[in-house]
Amino acid sequence: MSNVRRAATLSVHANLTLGATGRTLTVELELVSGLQVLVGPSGCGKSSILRLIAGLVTPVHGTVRYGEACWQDGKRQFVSPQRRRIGLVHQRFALFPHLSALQNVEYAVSRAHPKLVRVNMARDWLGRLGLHGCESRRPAQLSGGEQQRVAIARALAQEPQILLLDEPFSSLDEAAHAEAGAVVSTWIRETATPSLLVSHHQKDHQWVDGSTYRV
Amino acid sequence: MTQFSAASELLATSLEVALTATVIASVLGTALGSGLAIGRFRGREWVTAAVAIPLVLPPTVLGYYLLVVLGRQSSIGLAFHALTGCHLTFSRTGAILASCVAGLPMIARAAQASVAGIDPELVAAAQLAGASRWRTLFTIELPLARRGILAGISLAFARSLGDFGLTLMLGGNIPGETRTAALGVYDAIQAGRDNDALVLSASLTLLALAVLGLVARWEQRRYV
Repeated sequence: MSNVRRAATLSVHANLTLGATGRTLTVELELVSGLQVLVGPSGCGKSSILRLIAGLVTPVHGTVRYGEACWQDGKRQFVSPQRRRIGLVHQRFALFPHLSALQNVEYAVSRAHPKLVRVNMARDWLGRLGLHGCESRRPAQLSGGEQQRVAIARALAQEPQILLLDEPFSSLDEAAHAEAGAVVSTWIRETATPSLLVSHHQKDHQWVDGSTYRV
Repeated sequence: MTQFSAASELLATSLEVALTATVIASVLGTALGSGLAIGRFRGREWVTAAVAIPLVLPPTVLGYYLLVVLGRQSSIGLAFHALTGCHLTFSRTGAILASCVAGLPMIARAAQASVAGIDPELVAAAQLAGASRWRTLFTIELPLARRGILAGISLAFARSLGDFGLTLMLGGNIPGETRTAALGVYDAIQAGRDNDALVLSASLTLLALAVLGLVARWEQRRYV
């Protein structure tokens, strides 16, 4: 358990209408630094909770706060996803099909860095996830597991202040799973970033060092 | 030989008008279409319908409206003449304008459908990566929509090359100025110059086929 608490706490108190069923979900969640996990049956709204935190869906009412900042207060206050600096590893990867693996990762690196630094950082992240030699390939030329690791690299390269992982290791084989899991969990521990993992894999829970939320 | 040079002059006018009009309509149509795909405002469906209306109205009706709004005695027409010394109607500018208006809806509709069809998760991913709305548009949405937009542009170009009614209404039939190949065919038939009509018609057909064929070839290329 990490005792470094540099990062602020994300707190969510909101009611969310789920698109598929029209059901309303009450979300009460406090995300502190370290990796926490969100579990529940398929279709129960786990991904919707991640999207709420990211600012991609609007709650019926309720608030999302990060430290002192109010990201969402019903329909009165809303901070756009661009300004939240959230890394999201999407369940279906959501890689840009017209960009190479390197360009996909570089896209997320802060524009505050000069181009050359951005490219090097992107290359470095691909390397850490075992994707040496895949830099110039487009998503369609990568295997599912490789695409998933590009998606992880893209989320981390962004240096997010909150990391959201939606089934981030589902397409990886045993070895790649262990490697990627170690990279992600080490990064979370070192940066003390509040992180939320959605995963069905019992194995993934070995990296969790915080609370488990159930939907 | 004179017959040949007359035909090539008409074709040159057609090409110049169609190319200029297509370039202008591409920029405006892409902007308009992506704006309608992305924008969330009241009455969007009515603006979408209004953009498509030149496809439905007969060229005479459309030409009449444009003459009223842009004609030499209209305030826009007078202002344009004061600024540039050119007239917006019965001039090369008028012919280009006519082609532009005819082609714009095709490009705008194609751009709107293509941009709206992009996986919203990709747009979300770009936003989460911190990309502004403009950066997302130029680096993600437009590159992914380029096939559809290109299809619209090629249709607009073909439409422009083949336009008759609107060019006549807005540009007139001025030799060397607004008389395009399409108008030339009409003149040739009226004057009983069957040979001229044949040469012009065949050239126009080949030109259209060549352009559309090249575009289709380019479209077949994949993301590799």
